[in-house]
Amino acid sequence: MKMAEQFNIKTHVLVPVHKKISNEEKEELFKKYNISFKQLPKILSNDSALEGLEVVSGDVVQIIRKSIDLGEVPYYRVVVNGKRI
Amino acid sequence: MVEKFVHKKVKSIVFGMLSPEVIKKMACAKIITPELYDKEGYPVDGGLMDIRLGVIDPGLRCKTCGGKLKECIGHFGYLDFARPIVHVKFIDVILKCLRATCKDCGKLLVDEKKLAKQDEERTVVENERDVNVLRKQVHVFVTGLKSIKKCPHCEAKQLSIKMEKPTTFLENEKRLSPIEVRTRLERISNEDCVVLGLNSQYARPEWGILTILPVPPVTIRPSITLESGERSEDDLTHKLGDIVRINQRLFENLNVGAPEIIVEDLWDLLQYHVTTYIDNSVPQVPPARHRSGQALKTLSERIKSKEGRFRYNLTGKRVNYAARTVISPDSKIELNEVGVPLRVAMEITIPETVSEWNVKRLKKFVESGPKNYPGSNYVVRPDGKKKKITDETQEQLLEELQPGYVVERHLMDGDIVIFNRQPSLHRMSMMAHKVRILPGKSFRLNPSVCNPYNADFDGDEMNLHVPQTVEAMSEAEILMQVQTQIISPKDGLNVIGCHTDSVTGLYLLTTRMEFTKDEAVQILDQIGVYKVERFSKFGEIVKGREIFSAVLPDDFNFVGEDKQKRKVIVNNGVLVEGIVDNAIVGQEKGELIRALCAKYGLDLGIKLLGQLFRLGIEAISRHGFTTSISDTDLPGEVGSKCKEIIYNAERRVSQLIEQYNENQLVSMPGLSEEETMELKIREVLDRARTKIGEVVSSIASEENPTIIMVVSGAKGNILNLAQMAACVGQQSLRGRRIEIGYKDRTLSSFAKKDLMPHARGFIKGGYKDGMDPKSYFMHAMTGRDSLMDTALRTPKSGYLYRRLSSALQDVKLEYDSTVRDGKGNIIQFIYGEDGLDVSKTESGKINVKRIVEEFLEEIKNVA
Repeated sequence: MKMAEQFNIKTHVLVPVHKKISNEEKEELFKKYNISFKQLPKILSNDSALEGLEVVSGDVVQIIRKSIDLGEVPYYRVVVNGKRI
Repeated sequence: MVEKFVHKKVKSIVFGMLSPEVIKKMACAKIITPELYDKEGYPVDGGLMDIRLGVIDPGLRCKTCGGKLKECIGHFGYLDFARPIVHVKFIDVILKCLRATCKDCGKLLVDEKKLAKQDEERTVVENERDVNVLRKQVHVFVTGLKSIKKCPHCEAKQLSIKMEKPTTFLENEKRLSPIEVRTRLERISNEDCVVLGLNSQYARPEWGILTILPVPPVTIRPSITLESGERSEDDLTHKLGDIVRINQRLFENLNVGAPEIIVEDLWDLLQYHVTTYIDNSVPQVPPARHRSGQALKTLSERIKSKEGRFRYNLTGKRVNYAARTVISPDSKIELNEVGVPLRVAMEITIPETVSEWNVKRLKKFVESGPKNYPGSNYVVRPDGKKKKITDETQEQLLEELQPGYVVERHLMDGDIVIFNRQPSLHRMSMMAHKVRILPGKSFRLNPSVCNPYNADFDGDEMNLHVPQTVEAMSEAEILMQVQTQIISPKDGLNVIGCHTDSVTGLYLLTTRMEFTKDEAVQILDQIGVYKVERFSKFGEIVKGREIFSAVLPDDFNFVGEDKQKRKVIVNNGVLVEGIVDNAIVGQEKGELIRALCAKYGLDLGIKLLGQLFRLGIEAISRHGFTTSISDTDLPGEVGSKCKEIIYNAERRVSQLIEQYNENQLVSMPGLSEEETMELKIREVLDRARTKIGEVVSSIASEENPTIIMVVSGAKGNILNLAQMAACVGQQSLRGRRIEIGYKDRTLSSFAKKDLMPHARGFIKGGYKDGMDPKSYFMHAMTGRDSLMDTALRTPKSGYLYRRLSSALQDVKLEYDSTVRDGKGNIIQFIYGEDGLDVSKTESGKINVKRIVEEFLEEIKNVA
């Protein structure tokens, strides 16, 4: 607990920005790549990077990664129940 | 031949267990006797070779389908067991089911509330995650049930069930018979099966206990007739024979009401036979053997592991039109050529369809026949009949030859073949080459392409494959030819370039060599530069650099850096400044080679590379080049300087040891005092050797051949020279000084706890000075260690690679720019998360500035 107070991983330089995308954006994403949510990369709902985002399983988060050549590159992950196992 | 089989498209595949009903339904015969053949050698009805199960003898007809040999694919039979038998492969599932359910009522050992919760959680996992996670979730739930002591439904007390390997179940140390197990499993309801992770439609738990055994068709276990006329049966038939025999005896004993012990014994024996029939390598079961003592190859062994069906027969198939021999070098052939021995060329053929336009040419091949080169071995008629060309058939074939026929002609110069060396670790391990027919018995390849194949000529063998259709040939030519592989996809550097002697040669050529005009022209002729305008501007004395420039195209501009970071400039095809060395033309370094390929395309690039390579070889052979022991001679004062450095280092070490002994050494963070001392000693000794290297290189003459090799980057570095001339240095074992050996000392020649450099594997002298026995021993220790290390590492990394490539084999880049696996799951949204094709970049980066400058230049030229 003490650790969490001192150190917020979300502000760390190596942790990319995670943000929840709206349902419309989600639909658009699925349409763009012609996929269902099962084909997206996954992220466990108890992942530390999702703290404070208020996401539930089935939501899609956008992760904005930094790239030397492209500047900012979006990546998408679907939130998956991570409580058990 | 009339095809009798129904053709359908596979939509999905389900794996499950066979139920007794299904086994019975798919069977065509009931097997009742262990006999195979009667006195006439005819298969016995109801025997294991029953002709209702298919035919393996020519002439006979299958009783089930009426097909002859090769027409009938075979049919299953069945065998009724006298008593149920446990299937070894399902004991885990059975145990899980027994433990999770009540021994009396057969219901799951959970109340409705918990069951509903589990159902809910399972559905969530099923919808969100994949099968593997689902499997794990079910497993965790089911194994959680085994600790429950009382059935929540009927209150019956649950006893602990153990499995005794391989096939018995114990309940409170009392044996559960397969009959008992089966009745319990039968009580499990279909709904509960789902909770247990089984789909009752395809896998009821009690089907894991066999009451009836499917007998595979004879076609999968054919017998072989030996020369003596004797029949030798397949391993499976042997095993099935054992099963049928024991089963019969069990039946008889049961019918006469034999004592329980005899029945039990026979039952166990039958269990053993069925177990080994399914898998002959179950731990704790002695494998069934031939009379010769060799273990039988039963069902599992047929499928499993490296020699099994999948890896041996399905993923690795044998092919025709392939050749394999030893390789040897030939720098006179082009990089994208391969020298093929004549006798290989006359064996391997290429099919060419006869048309109006080539009939004359192909007729010549048929005329020559198989014994003259270039000739042909076969002619294929339009109806698909293949005719071998012999002295008898030749004339007739020649007469009938007309458009539509196919002539299988010998391999000829310019044909495209695929050349390969194992292990095929990357795509450059298989490249397409053009054929060059040569005398001799070995494949010849240009030494420049050794690097991508990782080949050398100490006895390596390579494979050659000949594409048989025009589609395959052009595909190989466009996608796989050597020139398309110059730039590696891993880092965008050239895997092919000049090396060793060629680099030295080009270095010598561009630094010091001069020729008469005649010699210069001769050299260019030797390396394949024939155009007169290339040497028309030569004067009477031609500098080596001019010859180098003569190879480059006239409009070529290049600015690069050599190994010493000095500028190398090519202006309009003339080398105006700098020395050509490994950093300019070398493999995995050569900037010039990449620039040439980028500007003139890969086809011309590889041609120029070949010419540069040969130019280097030509230069070094005209210059003459040798290294000798005297290269490592040091002038007296340098020798004493080196000795001084070593002496100082030794003094420093003894100071450190003294400090340590007097506990004056301040330990460094994370290290004990002893470790600190060791680290510092190593530092001191390391520095001493580097210093010696510097001293040696400072006095080395530019004319010293060993130095030339080092400076040009052809081979070796200055440390190697220092090791030969002055000091071999510290021998290290697993990253530390040598510490093992006798008690408290490495060798008995030293005092105990001697920490001085020479007692811990520091070798003062150079290789040339020779070593004393103590140093020699230490040197041998590290030498062996590194040998062992490589010998142990190779198979380990091989297995690691196998797993990696299996995991990634279906991953590909889709048209929508995503990277996806075989199921269409997205792995990356943009390839590499930056969308860059590494082989098109300049060592992983894009030089925007250069592109802009080039573009501006272009605009200027247009305007």
